[in-house]
Amino acid sequence: MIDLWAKRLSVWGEWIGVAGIIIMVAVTCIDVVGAKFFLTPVPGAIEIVSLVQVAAIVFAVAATQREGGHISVEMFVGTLPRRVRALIKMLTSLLGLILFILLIYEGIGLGNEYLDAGEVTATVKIPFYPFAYAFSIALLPVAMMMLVDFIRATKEAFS
Amino acid sequence: MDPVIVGIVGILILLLLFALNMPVSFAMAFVGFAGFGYLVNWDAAVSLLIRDIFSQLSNYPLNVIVLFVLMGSFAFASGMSGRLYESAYKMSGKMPGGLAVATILACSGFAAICGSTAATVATIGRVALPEMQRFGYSQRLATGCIASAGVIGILIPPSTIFIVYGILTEQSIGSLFAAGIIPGVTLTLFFVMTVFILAMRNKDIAPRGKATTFVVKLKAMWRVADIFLLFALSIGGLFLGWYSPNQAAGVGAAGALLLGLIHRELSWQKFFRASKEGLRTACMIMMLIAGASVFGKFMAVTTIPANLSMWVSGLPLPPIGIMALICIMFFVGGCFLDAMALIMLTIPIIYPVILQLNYDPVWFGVVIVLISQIAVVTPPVGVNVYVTKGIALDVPIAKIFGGTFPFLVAMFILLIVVIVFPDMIMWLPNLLAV
Repeated sequence: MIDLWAKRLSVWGEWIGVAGIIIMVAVTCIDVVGAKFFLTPVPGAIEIVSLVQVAAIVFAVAATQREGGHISVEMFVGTLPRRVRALIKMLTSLLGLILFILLIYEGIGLGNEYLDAGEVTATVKIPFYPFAYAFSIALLPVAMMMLVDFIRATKEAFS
Repeated sequence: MDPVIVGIVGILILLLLFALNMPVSFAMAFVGFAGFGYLVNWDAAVSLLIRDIFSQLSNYPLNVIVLFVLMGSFAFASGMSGRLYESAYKMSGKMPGGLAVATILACSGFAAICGSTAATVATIGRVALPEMQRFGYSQRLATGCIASAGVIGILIPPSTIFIVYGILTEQSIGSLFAAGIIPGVTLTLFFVMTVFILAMRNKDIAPRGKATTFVVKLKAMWRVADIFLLFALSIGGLFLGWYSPNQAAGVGAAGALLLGLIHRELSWQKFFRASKEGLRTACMIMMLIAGASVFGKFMAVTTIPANLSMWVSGLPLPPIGIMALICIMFFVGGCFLDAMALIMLTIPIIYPVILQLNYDPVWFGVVIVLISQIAVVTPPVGVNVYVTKGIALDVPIAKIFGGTFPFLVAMFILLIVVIVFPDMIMWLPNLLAV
């Protein structure tokens, strides 16, 4: 069940990421054309691109994890016995789970801080807090994947 | 405990987690966080973790990576690799080892629109390998040539590793791009010469292809003129100061998309697939940067980079001897770690040493990128070799590694030339003043 929802959320997150990168290309190109030919760059282009970037990338973390896209060194573990491999997977997925739970929790804290302080970007006054909350939401399926990996590896190690 | 000892323990734990198959970016973030928490305090470490990652991911200069990666994905989806190979084949097919030469030229051309070595190998390899097999090329030469030619991709701009190095060391990305051009072109020539020598020594390993007329050659060049126009518009515009690296990348991505639409190669399905693949690659790189940034903060509080810099400068060795040691370290590291991960892990530690030795950071960037790329075709990791193996399923991996050997010799010759004649690297960046 957790596995299914993690996968589903990662697919939705990936579509948000795709929308984000298309917006980045569009804003950058409109800004270049506007600035070079009409002397009117997009107001706050840098701020828009920066904030869209954080959303696009963070929403793609789960899909990248699902597809095994994060770089790792694979040559040592593959040669070990099945039970040892499961124990190693238990350890690494637990560390990953701790890391992502911390990031999710602290992301909400960061969002609360931005909201309380009323922090916005300098030119077009985009508030930061929705992006900090989005950061936490986007990492939820990654933590779920780590949890599933941990449970599976534990079962395999002690079966 | 002494911060230096804590730092060394941290590095050892990090290497252990790498060996245990934990994703490199997550391992760097975790060890960086834990080490910082141990040395400073846990509240500061938690705050560092979230703020550093959030600020790296929303860092505008890093957007150049996302957009150049996307440009490469759109270029691939737009069928540019096929056109490039076909044109190169018509230009050089009749020469000794003509198809292998065409592969090298196509890799060099595709590199001008794609910043990744593995992507260049996968893209050109899929087109080139069946052709070389059809003409009876030896498996060793065909696969070795494909695996090695991808390396050119990282020297000719846009190059994702140069961008990351530029951001880590605060060097001009335009300068690094310009610095990569002459070694990239020289390496292309060295590889072509290698193929000539191999084909002349044993004509059976590389039979000649079909002859083509001058008109056919001219038409073949015309078919890829738009790809070079895209390069000129994106990278040329950057060199001429028309726009910033981010804008150059945005124009490049939109241009690659436009070319795909003009040539009717890009369906909605291909467009979304390319966008997703580009996004995932960009995400992998950005997470590596974020993880390396957290780890870098931990390294800074251990004082290892500063101490190492002082220790190295006190060694009874001439600067070139220290440089040789650094090169060996990068080569050995590159045999086990991905080039991008290696650079992110080591640059924050090694860079102060380079400054202390008064070496030019741009020149050093080219040297280490070249070394780390030599490592991508050497065992045991040899990413390019494994990508080639993915295309040539019937060829044993040892044969592909064997096939890269003559090209490795060419790469080492280039490395020596680059180290002995630094002016060769710096001439173009100085001329363009980027």
